[in-house]
Amino acid sequence: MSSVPLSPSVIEGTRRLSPRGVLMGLAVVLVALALGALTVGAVPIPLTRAVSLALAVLRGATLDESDAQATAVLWSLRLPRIVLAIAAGAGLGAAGAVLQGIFRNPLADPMLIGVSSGAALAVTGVIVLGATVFAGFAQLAGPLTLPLAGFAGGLATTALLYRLSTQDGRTSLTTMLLGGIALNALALSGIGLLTTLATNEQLRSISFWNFGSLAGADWPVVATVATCVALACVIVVRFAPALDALALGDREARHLGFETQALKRRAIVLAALLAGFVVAACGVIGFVALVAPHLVRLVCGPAHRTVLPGAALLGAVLLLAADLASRVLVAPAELPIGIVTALLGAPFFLWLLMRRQRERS
Amino acid sequence: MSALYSVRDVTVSRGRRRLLDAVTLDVVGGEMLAVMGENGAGKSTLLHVLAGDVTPDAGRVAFADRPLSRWSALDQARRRAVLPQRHALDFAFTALEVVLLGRSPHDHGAPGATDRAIARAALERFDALHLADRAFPSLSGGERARVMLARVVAQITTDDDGPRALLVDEPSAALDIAHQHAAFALLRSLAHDDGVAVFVVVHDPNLAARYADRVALLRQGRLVACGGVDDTLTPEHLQETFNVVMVRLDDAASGASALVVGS
Repeated sequence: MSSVPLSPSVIEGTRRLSPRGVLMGLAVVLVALALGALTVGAVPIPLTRAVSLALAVLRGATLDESDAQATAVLWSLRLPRIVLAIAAGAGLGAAGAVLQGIFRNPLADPMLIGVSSGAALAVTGVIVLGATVFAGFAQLAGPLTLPLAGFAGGLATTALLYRLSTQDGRTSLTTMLLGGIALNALALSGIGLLTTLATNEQLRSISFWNFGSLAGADWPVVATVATCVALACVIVVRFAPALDALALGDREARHLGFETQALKRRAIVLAALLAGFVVAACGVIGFVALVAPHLVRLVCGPAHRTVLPGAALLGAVLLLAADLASRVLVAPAELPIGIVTALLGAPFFLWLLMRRQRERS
Repeated sequence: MSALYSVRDVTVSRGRRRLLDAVTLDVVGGEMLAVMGENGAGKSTLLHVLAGDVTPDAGRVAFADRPLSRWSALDQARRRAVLPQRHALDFAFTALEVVLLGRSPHDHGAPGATDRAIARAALERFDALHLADRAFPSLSGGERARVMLARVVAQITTDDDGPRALLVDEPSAALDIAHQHAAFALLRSLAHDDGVAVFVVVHDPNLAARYADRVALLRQGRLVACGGVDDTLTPEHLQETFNVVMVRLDDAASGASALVVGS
């Protein structure tokens, strides 16, 4: 295997910030952003008013009409959306870090390699055919129907792509990215086919996948996704030592005592779970999963015990900020959040590629 | 001392080709065994069999008197380390972090002060302590090789005197002459002073002659000879193994001798 550095982070030397400081800083920024996001919108609600409303509700006081309206805005619109942004961002960040660890490649991203569109295809299939072909499944799974479909679609594509691009534990970057292009194209044409079968109402749900959106946030969806992402993130941190060892190679990780194949299978399932649930709740949102682990690695080094929680926190920060931007920039209208993340993330990806190119010459 | 690895009639086939053909040998604690042979002779396959990567199609392999297949990956990792020929690492771990990865069978992924001390000492042994905070991918080939040597030594550093083995695949390729000799001297001292069983794939017969206790010669998956240096590294055996005529040159002044390709 070539020893050509694949990551721009390698030329960064080792000036690093303290992992603990960075994690705490990210947590503080996340809380500040969340509080800020509560106040911003068509009806501005200052933080002090939000706090007094919350206290009033907790006391069981009766609210006048304007207070009741403000409470409804906060509780039914803004808060679920904020929680969804945090959960989805954390899920994407962690999924990206895990995929990059398994593929041993800093350019793996659930959207680039087609995992997200695989999940989107499965979700679309269930939306369109849910009343007919998948009726039994939809009845059985209830509110988990779409998340489970997303998980299944994500898992199938990740496993397929891994088989395709990895031989003897070595992943070919070219095959991975080209395979991702093919899987993306396949999933998109599948979604296109399904839309010809869809009713108007279904079409509106489907169009939401094109760019991703947090607008569909309601508490049942948010609670499901947030719980699953939180659980998966807790589990995923336990993979940190194994992912570190895996950076040396499959065999090398085995020589260090890790049951590599079993570990990889479990990590792939977790990453697909994270990406699939997020896609089911908010559609395909690109680049957060690529950018978040990358920035954490640049700043704190590549040890996964920092990269995994850091990427989850930074992913949450990025998605929350992107959602805020999507609500504020063209207010009172709203940009699809996928457009915002692509506007920021795609240039970042190009910059990564350019630095790699320069490093090689 | 009894054999740490006992290999009996081991055969490994890929399709119709026999990568290893009824190979029998011992790897003994306190001894450095050099394995030589032309490209494709089965040296690396033999190393992979000992490392547990490849299960033989026939024959038996035992590690510390127990069939190798009954050792878990973790139990093996605490007793033996493997140094592959090539190192791929795309993430910017520092040299010290790379060496600390060698401690992961012992520290469950959370290195403590002892592990750090062991890692730094291992780096120092290979003249690489000054590289500790450098990013591994930014190191030269020779520097990487020394850091990786330190990693495997750190892995088998234990405070008990149980059996330990080191399997090394051609460690000298990227090293300059001084570091080649330093590395082999160190591997030998691990065997002689620390009782480690060292199995090393070597290309240069002179390095083998100078540092190994025993030599195994492989040709097309079969063992040509296995034994002491003087009995194995003879012009006859070398010609049979490598298909080239080799002669021994002696320098009367220094007492040194060298095996070179004759005409």
